[in-house]
Amino acid sequence: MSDSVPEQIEPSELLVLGRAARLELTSDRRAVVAPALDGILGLLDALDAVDLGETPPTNSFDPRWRDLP
Amino acid sequence: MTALTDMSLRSVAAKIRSGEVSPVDVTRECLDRATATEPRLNAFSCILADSAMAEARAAEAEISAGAWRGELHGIPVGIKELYDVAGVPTTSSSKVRENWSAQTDSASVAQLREAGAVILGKTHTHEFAYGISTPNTRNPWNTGCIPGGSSGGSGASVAVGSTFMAMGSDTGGSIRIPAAVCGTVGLKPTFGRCSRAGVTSLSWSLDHVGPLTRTVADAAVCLNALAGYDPRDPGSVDIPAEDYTAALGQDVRGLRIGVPTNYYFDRCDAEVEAAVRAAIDLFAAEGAVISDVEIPYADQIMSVEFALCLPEASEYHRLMLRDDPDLYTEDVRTFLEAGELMPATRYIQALRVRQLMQRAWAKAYEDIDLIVAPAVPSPATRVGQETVDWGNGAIEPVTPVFVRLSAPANVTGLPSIATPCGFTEAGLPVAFQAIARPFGEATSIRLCDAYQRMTDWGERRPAL
Repeated sequence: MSDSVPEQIEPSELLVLGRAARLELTSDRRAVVAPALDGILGLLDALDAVDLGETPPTNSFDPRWRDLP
Repeated sequence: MTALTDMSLRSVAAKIRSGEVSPVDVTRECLDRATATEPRLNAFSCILADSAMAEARAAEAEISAGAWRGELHGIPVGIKELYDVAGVPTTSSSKVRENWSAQTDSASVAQLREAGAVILGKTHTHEFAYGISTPNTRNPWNTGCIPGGSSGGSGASVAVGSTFMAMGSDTGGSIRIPAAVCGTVGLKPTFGRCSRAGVTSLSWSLDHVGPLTRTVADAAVCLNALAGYDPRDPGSVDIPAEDYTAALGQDVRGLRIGVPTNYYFDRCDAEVEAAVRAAIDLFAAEGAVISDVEIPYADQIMSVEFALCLPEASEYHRLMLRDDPDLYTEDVRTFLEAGELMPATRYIQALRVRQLMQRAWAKAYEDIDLIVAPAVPSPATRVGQETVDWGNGAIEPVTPVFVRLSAPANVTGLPSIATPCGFTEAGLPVAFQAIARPFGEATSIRLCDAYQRMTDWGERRPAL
């Protein structure tokens, strides 16, 4: 058995991913979503080219009780 | 004689103020224009004729009594279907929210009412703002083409004169894309400049609200009404607003304009590129200082845009997607389902890259005030067209075609104005965008307003 990451996500694999997300995906939906997800994840691979070092994310949290709606 | 509905907001405002025309006349003409054009455009999800006429009569009475509120007083405007308007459905142009009715006005609608605007109707969006084609609506310059999106109804209604301004929202270009392909101005303010309270979210970290108008001067008037801090919007920034009309009527001498050497002119329609470069040449001839600028992290822009937008949209829709999946349109449902399956670590990774990107863009702006580049790389595509063929085997789906030049200003949060700068041989509008520093809306307004006073592209009207 190879440890390498498969190049494409197969519709059948979405059963597990959908279960983890608590999202029911019929076989028809898995067939539609798999190539879409594959394309999106492929786009995100470009993020790996950036050396992030100790860079924190842009999200922030302001603990002051100021102007709370 | 020029019809009122062919005029700019400011021109009509001057006539209202002087008493030459009344808000009732103006509103009636806009309603007539909508009646004439809607069978071919379908820009509106609903037209609020009765309440609009009542508001126009109230404005007329106030102005007659000497209580003129400003240039928006008595001006008919459109509101994108994502915005809450008290007592009116907010369907987001979706069957999922067919019966969703707002109890209160969104911040923008309340601000526009305060300024005296007449709410003429609500304009179609691509379902939940999650797309660039706005399938319900057609392009006024060629009804076989898309009006862009997601604020396609707003672009179409402003272009034909059924409204003088319409609100849009912009997560990956949804103000600037329809503005560009419908031949209107589209102003996306800095992230945090205008409140999003009461506007259905697509992606909290990328969403912006702003106006589509006929002229940049009109956009400045609208921004004066819309800009300001609002604690109800966690993205709102507490920086004082300014009088954006003060930037009007100036020249471009001394403005430092960066022209991208990468990214923005890659895979760009030849007619679009020629029109944008002609605008840049005009700025140079008028005394602007032009220099090259390299766009940092160009390969990661679309990655960050999609890595943030997808999971945030899927989380917003999590319960609705489980309750009513079949009520979504196919493309939106697929995006929402795919977004649920994206690893959380990818989302955080994109937020970290966004941090580096912000620093790099700040450095790129050290010697420039603005970047001028195409607003979108292609004129409006045909309805149903799925890809654009760039030649040499490069075929690109239409969504990234229209998003990729808009997304940088969403990811960086920088203000950007799309301004008409020409037409293709086929008669479709073309636009540049001017991207300024954070909260530098006035600088963009100065440049784009000067351009409109030197050219007449923005004065053309579709023959619809």
